[in-house]
Amino acid sequence: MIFNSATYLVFFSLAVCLFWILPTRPRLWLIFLSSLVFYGFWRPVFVLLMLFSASIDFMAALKIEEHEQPARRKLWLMLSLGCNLALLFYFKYLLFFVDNAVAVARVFNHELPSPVMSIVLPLGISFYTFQTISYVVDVYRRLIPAERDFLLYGCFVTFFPQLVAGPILRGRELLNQLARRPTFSSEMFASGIRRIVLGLFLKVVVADNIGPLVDEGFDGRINEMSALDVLTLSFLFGFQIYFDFSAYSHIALGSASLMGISFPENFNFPYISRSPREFWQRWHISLSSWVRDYLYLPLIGAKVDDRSIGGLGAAAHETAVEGRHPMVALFFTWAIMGFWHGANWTFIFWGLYHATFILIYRLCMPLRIRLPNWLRNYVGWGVTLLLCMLSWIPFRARTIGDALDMYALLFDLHRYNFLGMRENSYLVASLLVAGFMLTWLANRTYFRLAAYSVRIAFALECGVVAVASGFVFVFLRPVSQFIYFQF
Amino acid sequence: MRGGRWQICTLNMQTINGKKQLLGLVCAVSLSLALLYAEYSGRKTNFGDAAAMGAATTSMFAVRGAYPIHCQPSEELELCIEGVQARGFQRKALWLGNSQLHAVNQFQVGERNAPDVLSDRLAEKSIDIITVSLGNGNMQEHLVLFNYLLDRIQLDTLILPVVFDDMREDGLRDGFPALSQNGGAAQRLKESDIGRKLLDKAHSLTQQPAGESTPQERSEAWLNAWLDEHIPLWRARSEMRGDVFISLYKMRNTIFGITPSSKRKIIPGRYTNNLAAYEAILQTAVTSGVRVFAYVAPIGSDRGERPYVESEYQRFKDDLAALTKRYGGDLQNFEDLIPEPLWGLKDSTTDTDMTELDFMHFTAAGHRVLAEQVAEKFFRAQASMTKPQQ
Repeated sequence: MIFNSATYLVFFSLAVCLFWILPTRPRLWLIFLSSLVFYGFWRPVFVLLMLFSASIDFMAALKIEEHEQPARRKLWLMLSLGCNLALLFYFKYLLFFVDNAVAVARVFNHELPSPVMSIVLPLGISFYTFQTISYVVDVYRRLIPAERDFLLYGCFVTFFPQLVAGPILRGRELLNQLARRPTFSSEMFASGIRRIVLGLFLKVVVADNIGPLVDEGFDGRINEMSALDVLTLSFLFGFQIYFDFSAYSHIALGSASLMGISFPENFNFPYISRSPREFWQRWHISLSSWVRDYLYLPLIGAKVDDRSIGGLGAAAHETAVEGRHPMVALFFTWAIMGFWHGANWTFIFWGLYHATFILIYRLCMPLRIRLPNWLRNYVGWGVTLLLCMLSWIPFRARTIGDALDMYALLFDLHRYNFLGMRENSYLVASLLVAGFMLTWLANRTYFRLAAYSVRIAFALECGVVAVASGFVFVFLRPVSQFIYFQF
Repeated sequence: MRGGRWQICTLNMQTINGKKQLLGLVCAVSLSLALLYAEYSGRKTNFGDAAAMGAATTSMFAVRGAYPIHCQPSEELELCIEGVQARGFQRKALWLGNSQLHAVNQFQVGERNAPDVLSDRLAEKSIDIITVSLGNGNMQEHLVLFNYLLDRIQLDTLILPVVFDDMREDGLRDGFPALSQNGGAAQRLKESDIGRKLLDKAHSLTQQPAGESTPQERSEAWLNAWLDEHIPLWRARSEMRGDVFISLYKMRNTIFGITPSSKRKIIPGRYTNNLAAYEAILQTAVTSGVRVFAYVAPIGSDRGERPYVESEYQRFKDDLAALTKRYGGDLQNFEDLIPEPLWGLKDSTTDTDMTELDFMHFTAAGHRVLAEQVAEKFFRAQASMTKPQQ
């Protein structure tokens, strides 16, 4: 089921009403069953796959806890990881490897038969797989006890607000909240409604209307594009994916709030970052902190955290133990981070682009160019914004060749003297940059206003909600899925 | 530069308790819906044209008996096709075009537009004609329509106006993906690069939620139908969306001083796609034995100056001429066909109540001129040209 649909609003309203009426245990059944219905609205058969994957991890975690011998514990961990990764490999990466094997064989003049296969990617498989992996690893690391109640564990894996596109939560963050009976808080309820309205606004009014401009640009003929078109497209897609994904997170957080459950933030104005490190503390925080704790820090032998906050930037100052190679770990981590997003070289390229960006930043940091602080901030922001936006080109391009061709245009001076897209594209991109900065400034001003007069701030907030809900009413329709559903 | 969180959602209102916050939110949402209701209840406008073109311009779609002979590519298209079958003429022609064919400026009761007039003129020679026109229809959409209609009607001739402005448009609008995937149409589209590209796009569009295969799609369709039927405000949402976009369009024009006289430039990618679509139409026509009668569409001019960059406009005409010649079609230049007094005025495209020159649509008298000229050239071409070999 997708959030930006009338179906979800009806389904969710019913679920919330029942949730607050029922006693604790039936509530868990409600969450579990409604989550299965939520997921089954896409393709019912994949509910079984999700339950199979979850059951293996449930059992593996119990076995890990049961055994004291490290070898046995490791065996069960490996079994769980193996099953999870095998499922992920089959559904998400098999075709990629087959295609590449055929292509490599062709280079060596061997014609392999190209198998005609069609594998449907189960919705949100990357998200729930990472969530269950984190659970089993946390049990293995003795950070949390294994959950003995399958119903509670099932709710943790399938909880519908975050099932298909995160945030990717840890056992410690969600299991306890699900287990206790939340007390109704009208503050939390009001906050949830605001978040849902805001999220729907960002999705159906903003992201969905940027989409056609982006699609047309990236599906167009690259040899007829100007350098300014490439820049504009990177900004347009950068904003589309931000509004789309952060909208999902807002609705997820809002929906959970209405059920008395708190999720950690997943986005925090990423495009105001002044460095790549800061960017990854603000963008898809739950994934970057997952990669930090289950991949990067173990690779360099540093201590890990057990919460999905802080993002990847929090690992920047961790020192590697002797014999480990942080640079290798950095590139490996980022290649995996890219590959997680999709089975295409474009995503690996995107990951390596960010690894290079972070490496350059780390190398430049000690130089400490003498600049006034305010100027350093603005230069840092400008450079980070530009490079982060340009990083979206391989992420969205059809092939790696297209991405490289688009980058090449940026270095051709003759490509700066014409415009190849409809005028509205440039206008919308400029408005988005200006609008984003104004929103950030307004947000800060709003704080000050709230400190001065809560009533005026609240009246303003109601005004914003009135306008936003009007637009949501007008534009609400599932014209497109959330971009991150495909990952 | 310190980053704030979306505190709008997490603000700790110490002096406003949760119940008041909830009440405030409910009031805000209710007020919003009440305002929409007040604005839209009882309003009966045809967004498609009235809102898009303004009150000074009227859309007309002629009818013969129980069937339309002129329609937009909507449900009416099927009725148009049924009409052709019911009339049973041996020879059949199709006129594809943009809003120039259905829009009449300063319309008076009893006036007729060009497709209506041409239909009578061709009927004298026992030729049936239907017209399908859509506002800002681009050549890629015409390609899809042509291929779709080829399957449904044994066509003899295609009359195809080519409009420079429409070469700036791109892609397929709602409904077209389904048309392109229709049996023979899909087969023919596969024969050209642009056709394959359109099919890919159509395929990706129909793969998205519009289909009927998942419970989500079925429930959404059912729920929307129910809401449309029982809640007028819900039904008016497409009109509201149209109004939002038109307001934005007018605001943009006002801020940037864009008027009908502003020069429109070629958009390279779109131009190439549309030219490729034009070529694909000619190609398909040759292989299907359909004669093509194309013309550069009439365009109004403000004191003799067209709203185009002249060198680009010339290039456009040269490209059309070269392609048409290559495939043995007939291309006429009607750019100056309609004299200045017959063009009329349209509602302002900026935020003012004034009218302004309309470069694309003319009065009923202009429509008659166009119909007569098309008929004359059509008959002359019929007399001189031999039907292309299959």
